[in-house]
Amino acid sequence: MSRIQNEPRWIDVILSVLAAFFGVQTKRNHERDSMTDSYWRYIVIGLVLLLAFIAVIYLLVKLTLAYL
Amino acid sequence: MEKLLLGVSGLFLFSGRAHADWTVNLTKGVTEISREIYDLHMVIFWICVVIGFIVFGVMLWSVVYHRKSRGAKAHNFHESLVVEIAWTVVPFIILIAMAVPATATLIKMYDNTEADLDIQVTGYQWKWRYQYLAEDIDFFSSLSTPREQINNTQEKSTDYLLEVDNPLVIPVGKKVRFLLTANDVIHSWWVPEFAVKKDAIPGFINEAWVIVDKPGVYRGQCAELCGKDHGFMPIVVEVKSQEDYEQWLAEFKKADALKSQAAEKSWNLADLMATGEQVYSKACLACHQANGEGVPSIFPALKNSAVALGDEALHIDVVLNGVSGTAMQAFKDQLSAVELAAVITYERNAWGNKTGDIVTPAQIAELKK
Repeated sequence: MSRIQNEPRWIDVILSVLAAFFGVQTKRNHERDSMTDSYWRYIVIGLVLLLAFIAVIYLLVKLTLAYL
Repeated sequence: MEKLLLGVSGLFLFSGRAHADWTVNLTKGVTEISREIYDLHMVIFWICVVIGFIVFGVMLWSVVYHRKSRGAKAHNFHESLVVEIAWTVVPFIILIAMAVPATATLIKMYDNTEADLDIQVTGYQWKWRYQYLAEDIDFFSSLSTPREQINNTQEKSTDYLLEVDNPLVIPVGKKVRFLLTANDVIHSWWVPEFAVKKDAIPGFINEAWVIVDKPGVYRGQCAELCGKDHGFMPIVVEVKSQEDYEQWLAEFKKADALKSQAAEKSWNLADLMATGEQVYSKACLACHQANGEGVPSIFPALKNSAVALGDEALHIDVVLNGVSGTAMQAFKDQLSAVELAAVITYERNAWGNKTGDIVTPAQIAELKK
């Protein structure tokens, strides 16, 4: 199989990272992701979404404590 | 085989009779929180039962229905996105559904505000100390089961190892906050009917609270392995009506005042020895043993010991202030002046330690100030 030379699309990276958070990925997308040489977009998006996840949990706890 | 069956069924009959009120389920308890925890436990239990039935049912049915003799052929597919999403989303929804009521109860449990009464609970090896912070009340609560029952020379009572000399007394229907800590090692204050099991850790203060609905006697145990007599430091809580509680308060203070008066009267050797023996069996015997010989290389002997036969002042210092770095505790706050004087006198005159010394309660009362 030939390597894709161009960078992956941001939207595909976001969807792949979300799929990884969820724990389920399609075989097709997985193969597409492993074809690329550029991993830094995955790391950046991974860190950004991780921070977003922490923020969501923090907000959920704040809301729960305020309303329960 | 028959013999074995008979033996096993006999065992069940016996244990059935010995533990008439023995049940496998969680206790419902006597507080609103404990009942909520019980209900949560039951809801989650039934959810697990239903899941178990569905999962194992489908599995068993599949195994039987698609058996080889019926000509079943395996599908060799690798992935199914739908199934993978389903088995991730369904448990997620179930877990969130269980977390909602559980969180509501947890938030209530951790609401330590607006207590009517604050009691500091301190774990010691192997007894509990209760200090009522607003009142001038401070006492130790230790096992009162006689040694004879423990050593199997006497029949065991119903509250065997679950009885104490001074129970904790609290009023019914009031919010009582416990501030838990420990003096030596980690203990855990556990009363199942209150749904309270909280670690008592040296240097930390943990909080717990109860509002008990009905008067009664509730029993618990230390729930954190804390050394040799971990199983011998029960908790007894007497929950009284407000009037009875106030009466107990008054009586306790009166008895306390009498104790300090007793220190002022003069005591003779025989009286001190008699009191001293009782105190010894309550406070010292667990380590130094009934014969005063201790446990070699763990707990030192008192019989023929340099401390018990030597300088009186040193002996008093050891008992009152303990020996740092060893298991010897400071008994200054744990015992009254009379008890301290009596037990030191006892140790100096028992088991052939015939020094004839009398340590007077007045002498100790002076040191306790």
